[in-house]
Amino acid sequence: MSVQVKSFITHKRGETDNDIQDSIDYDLARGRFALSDGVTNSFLPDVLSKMLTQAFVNDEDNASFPPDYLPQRFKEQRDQYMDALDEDARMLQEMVEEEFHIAAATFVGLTLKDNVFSWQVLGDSCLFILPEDGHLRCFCSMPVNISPEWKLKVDFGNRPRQIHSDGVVVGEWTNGKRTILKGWVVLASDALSDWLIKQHNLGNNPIDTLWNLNDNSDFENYVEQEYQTQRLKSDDESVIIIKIDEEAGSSANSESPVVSEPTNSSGPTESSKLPDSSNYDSVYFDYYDDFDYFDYSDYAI
Amino acid sequence: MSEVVKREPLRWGSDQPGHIVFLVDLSGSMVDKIDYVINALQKTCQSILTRCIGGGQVKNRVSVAIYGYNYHIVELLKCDAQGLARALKDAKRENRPLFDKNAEAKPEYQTCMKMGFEKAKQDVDQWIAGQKANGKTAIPAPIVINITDGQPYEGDDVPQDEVFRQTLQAARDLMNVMTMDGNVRIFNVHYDPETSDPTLRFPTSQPTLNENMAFLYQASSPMSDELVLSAQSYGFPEAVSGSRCMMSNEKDASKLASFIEWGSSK
Repeated sequence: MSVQVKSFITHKRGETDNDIQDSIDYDLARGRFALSDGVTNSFLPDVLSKMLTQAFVNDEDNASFPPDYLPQRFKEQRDQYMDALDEDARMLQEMVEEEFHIAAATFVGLTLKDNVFSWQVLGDSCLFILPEDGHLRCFCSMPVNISPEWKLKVDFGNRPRQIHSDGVVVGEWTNGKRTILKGWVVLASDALSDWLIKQHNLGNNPIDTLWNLNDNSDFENYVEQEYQTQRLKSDDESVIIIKIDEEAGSSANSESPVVSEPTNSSGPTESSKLPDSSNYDSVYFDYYDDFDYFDYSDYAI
Repeated sequence: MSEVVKREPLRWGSDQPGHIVFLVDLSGSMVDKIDYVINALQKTCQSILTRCIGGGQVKNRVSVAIYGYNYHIVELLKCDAQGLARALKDAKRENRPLFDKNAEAKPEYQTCMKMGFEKAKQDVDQWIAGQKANGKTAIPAPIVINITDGQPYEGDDVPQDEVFRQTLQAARDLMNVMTMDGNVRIFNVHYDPETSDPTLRFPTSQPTLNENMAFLYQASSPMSDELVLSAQSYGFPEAVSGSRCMMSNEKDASKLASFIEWGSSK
């Protein structure tokens, strides 16, 4: 089985890379992928979103997430940040802290291991699965409705499901796992998820469109174009696209694993074998049966 | 057949800043309420500012104008987010309220509300023209929040029915200003802790209890589904589909503050 990955991230229109509150991170060798969207109306959301993606991808044991050290580590980073500010800037940040008290972020984590991928999602960032010759599915904390014509509708309403910097998790995780199939898996922040769903419903191929972008500069130009036509909301836009070329169980023919840390600018496409591990700890319910039932029995005829 | 993609309300940001106008009744009867109103405005301004801070910098994601009205108009504040940051920091450093109730925000005279709506229209017209002059096409619809404790007045010689008619016309002229994002949205809150009349929040039909309630209803914008949801999240379960952006005979000061903050929270 071979896996290729592209990732893109950009800021709200009219702002800069320094203002990005989303964070993406992945490690192909470990088979871990994470995306987090820092909540604008919170205190230092960019710090929290980065801590979450790094912890999920890099911590040796991420079975319990968010990690117990989150509140203390966030406080340390908060103190470092505030100490570096001049009086005026500190006064402003104190106002923000007084208003919001904590940081908040949504989260999508995906693990590929032993020909199974498992996920955990909290909030309106989304995980999409599109098997080759299959139907697009979306997983997030928001209500997802699917019409008989397989058009998706996700209510991106005002229902906060977030991880807080004090370690509190607001809302229930959406967890799942399934055997890997040839196709696509996508992690995306809310505005881009909304766009992806609408484009899919219009009969377009938004995942192909994103995959065919060469680099982050291409992505920024594309986001600008979609923003100008009002098809995409102005927001931080971030996405990780995973292309799986062969189904689980088939022979792997990829190059040697390539390990990298994504940055604000996506590097070239990376490919890798999936990690082998014999100690997969199944902590999530098995979604596979439900998926197949819904996919084929309800709507195939 | 392809579907039409529904346009979403424009989000405020550095590239498409929002604009909020507060109208504050500075008539004489406000004298026992002005401390609380100033405090609520200051907290709301701080809340607005905190949504404009990113990467340690103040981003001009919104501009704010605050006008007081009695027999004339007082410009209390008119600035972008950076100006708002300066004003709030100065007040904090000097340990004083944002506005002085004995000077620029002194309650006196009568409630010439028509003038307030006319000033707000002039303000949003200028702001929209400025955005267009800067090459903006995606211009968020401005928001106007009117805080009063009384009913419109235009002089002893003008019958009250005529006052309501003229003031409502001024409000409608303001509401008819539109951008590609939609019409100017007017929020009215009538705050009177002493009244024995019942409180009315987010009515879905024109009130019949008195003429002032009926006037405020007609002078307030209908609520979109998005506004209903956000109002509910601010602690207003009374907001439902078909509600208007208004509260009348509000006696709970915390509800006044929540209403102002909700109205300016986009």
